Amino acid sequence: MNATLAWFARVVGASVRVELSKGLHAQLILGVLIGPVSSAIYILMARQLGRTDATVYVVLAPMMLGMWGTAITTSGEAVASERGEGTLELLIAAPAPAALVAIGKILTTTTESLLAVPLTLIIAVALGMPLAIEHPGHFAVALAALTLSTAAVGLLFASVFVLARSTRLFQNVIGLPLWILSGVAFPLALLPDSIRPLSALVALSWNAAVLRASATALGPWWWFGLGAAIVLSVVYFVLGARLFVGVERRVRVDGSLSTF
Amino acid sequence: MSVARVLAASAHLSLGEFFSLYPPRLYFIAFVPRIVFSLAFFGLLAQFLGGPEYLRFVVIGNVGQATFLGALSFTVASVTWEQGAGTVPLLVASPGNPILVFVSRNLAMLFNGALSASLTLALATVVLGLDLTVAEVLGAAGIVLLLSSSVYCLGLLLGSIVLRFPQYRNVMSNIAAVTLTFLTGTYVPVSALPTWIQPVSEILPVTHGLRVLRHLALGAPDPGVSASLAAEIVIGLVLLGLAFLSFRYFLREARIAGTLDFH
Amino acid sequence: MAAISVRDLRRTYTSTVGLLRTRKVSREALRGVSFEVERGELFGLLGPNGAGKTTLVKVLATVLVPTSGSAAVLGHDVVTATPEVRKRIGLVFGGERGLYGSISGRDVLEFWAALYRLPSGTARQRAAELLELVGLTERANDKVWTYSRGMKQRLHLARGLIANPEVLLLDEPTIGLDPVAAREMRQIIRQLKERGTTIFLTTHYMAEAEALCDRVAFINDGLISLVERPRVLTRLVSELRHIDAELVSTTGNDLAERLRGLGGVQDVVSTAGADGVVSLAIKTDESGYGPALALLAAAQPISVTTREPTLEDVYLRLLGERGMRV
Repeated sequence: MNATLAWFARVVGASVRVELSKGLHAQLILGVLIGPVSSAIYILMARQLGRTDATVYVVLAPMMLGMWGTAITTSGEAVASERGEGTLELLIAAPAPAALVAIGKILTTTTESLLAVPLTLIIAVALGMPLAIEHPGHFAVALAALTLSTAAVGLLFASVFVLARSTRLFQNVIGLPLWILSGVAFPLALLPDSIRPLSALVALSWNAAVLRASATALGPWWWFGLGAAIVLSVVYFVLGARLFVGVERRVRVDGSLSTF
Repeated sequence: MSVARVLAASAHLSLGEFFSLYPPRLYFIAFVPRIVFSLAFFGLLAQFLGGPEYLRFVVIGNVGQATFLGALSFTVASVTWEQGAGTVPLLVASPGNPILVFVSRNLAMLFNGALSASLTLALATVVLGLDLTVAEVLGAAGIVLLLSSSVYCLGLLLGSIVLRFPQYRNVMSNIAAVTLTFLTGTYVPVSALPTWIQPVSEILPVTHGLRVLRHLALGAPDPGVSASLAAEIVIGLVLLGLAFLSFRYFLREARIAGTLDFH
Repeated sequence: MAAISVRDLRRTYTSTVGLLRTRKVSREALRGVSFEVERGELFGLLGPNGAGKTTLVKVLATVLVPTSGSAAVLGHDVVTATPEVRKRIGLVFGGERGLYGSISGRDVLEFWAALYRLPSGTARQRAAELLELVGLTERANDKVWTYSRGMKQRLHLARGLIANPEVLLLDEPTIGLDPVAAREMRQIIRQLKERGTTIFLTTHYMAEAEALCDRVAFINDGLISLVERPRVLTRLVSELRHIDAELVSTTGNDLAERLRGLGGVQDVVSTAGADGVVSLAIKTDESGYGPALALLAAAQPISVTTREPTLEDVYLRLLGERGMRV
């Protein structure tokens, strides 16, 4: 068991090395250049209306969107690129579970996405709407949970992207509904009653609530919220890994993946 | 009238290609949800931050935003598709003006942008309960077309630059879209932007047209309709002219450097 | 126990066509293929493009699941004992893709070594050995995107050998290589066979199959029509003779027509050479052989040579006139 886990770790490490060798990901460049502009949009929307009370929303929103946005685009693409590179079949034919290679890529892209955190906070200060964090310890924990959910949802989407023929289309469509459902930018109370329950299924909604609370006011529910975020992340993770194995079966049965 | 012929032929090809890639069913799946959700997201955010007044402002702003995916991002991408397909050397070697082909080849993207923006506008009237006269509807449609055209010209200009750096295609089109969103008054009024950056907004596409659209649809203060429309047209033409020059420059450079077909 | 055992293997690809009104389109790539490969054998699968060669290799490589029938490598079924198979095989799909361009050749090998569960020390050593074997040591630390087509192909081979497989699957190993590179590749393949590796290779180059393989199977349209040793196969068309002759053009052109008119002569190809010399390539059966030679001798040729039928003749005989059709 130990030897197998050590081997798994080694494979993940090897995958990270290959991913890093690809140089600065476009997403990283994007994150550095777009993140600040995107954050500025949200922050100025509030500032020009004098809504300093909404600071916690408009500063944390671009941060979270930056991270989960990365999960949806870059993680998925990093994995789907194996198709373009022609290595997907070779990966499947190797003894190591192919999902491990995917995990390595996602770890890399998720870590890169963390750049959104300092960038957003700096822009907020620059625009005169600094985010005061009341409970830094809790905030750090909440950030860690956000990183976890980012990686998990990345794996989930990666499996889907390997199968989808027009990934760009999918990327364009899937982001916005998630942002709406998870209340990253506005209180969930604004959603119609019929839709609001669905938010509970999106880990990001718990991440958002927990992050916001740690910046403003904690409540007894906070640990429950954190737990919910973590549990959902694990669920996504398991689902993603399962889907990946399922993807492999479909590749071998349909034989449709070598044609890119 | 060979220019007209080239334009017509390219436009025909472009639209045909677009419809084969995006037959109505697929278009519906690909673009309409995005239009709906974009409206929903920014609408709810506006409602949260500023109530009904701001909601109206942002929803119409979203119409401008809708042109960015189709007329901007896709245009930048489709210009480089030509490169990837290896057809650029063939174009250059042919007797016609290759730039004309680049300009008109991607007209479907202009159409795409206009369609997205129109659908957004239609949705906006429903959501906001706007009561527009026929004349106002026609006027709005005309503005939408104008917006899409000037954004398309920007797309062409960026596309021509990206031909030299194809690997930055996505980066550039994303940065352009976000920057336009930021600066053209789609969600943040230009007056609320830092003063030093406001002049930049005034020379970008969409800024002026959007003001006229808001005046038309929401009864926002009159920005000087004829002046604004003229400004929008001039900006579009300047961008088109720059695109022409840029394409010419790129083609010349590439023939010297041997990079006409880059994979 | 056979190294590879295939029984009534079938593989059908199904895809849906159309957007509004969809319908299923099936393509039978393999239509009931059976054969066995002995341990240590160098076995060739010969056939035109689209015959099912790559599909068959993919099934053996566990990358594709059969629609029906069975395939086993070293006694392990490719479907029910997939992990066992994967540990023991090496695959070389070749081509421009399938390698990570942004890392060095050495790093590629070490990456796959990790996936094949080689301990780090062994991995490094093995990578070095293989780079030496395929002649890439000098360029080992250069990024793969700088490699030529031939070098990439050699790296593919090294990659396939990283885990010291008992069975090696090669899909068109010399395709796209220039003659020198191709010959080097074949040299390496021969060396591997001498070391005892069972090798299964696909190709559409007759000369390659004839030069390398212990046995050759012909595949066309998803079916294997023949499995035999190359020598035996060429004897199948032994009644076919080749005569190559060089003559002075004035006599030669006229002679070509007369030769064609002979009973038993199947084909005469006339090529104009330099200095007023014309070459004739004559294909004839037993009955035409004598008369053709007689005709040639009377025309006072510059040179006449006869040779044995080749695998190409077998191939053409079996496949008939296919021309450019896929």
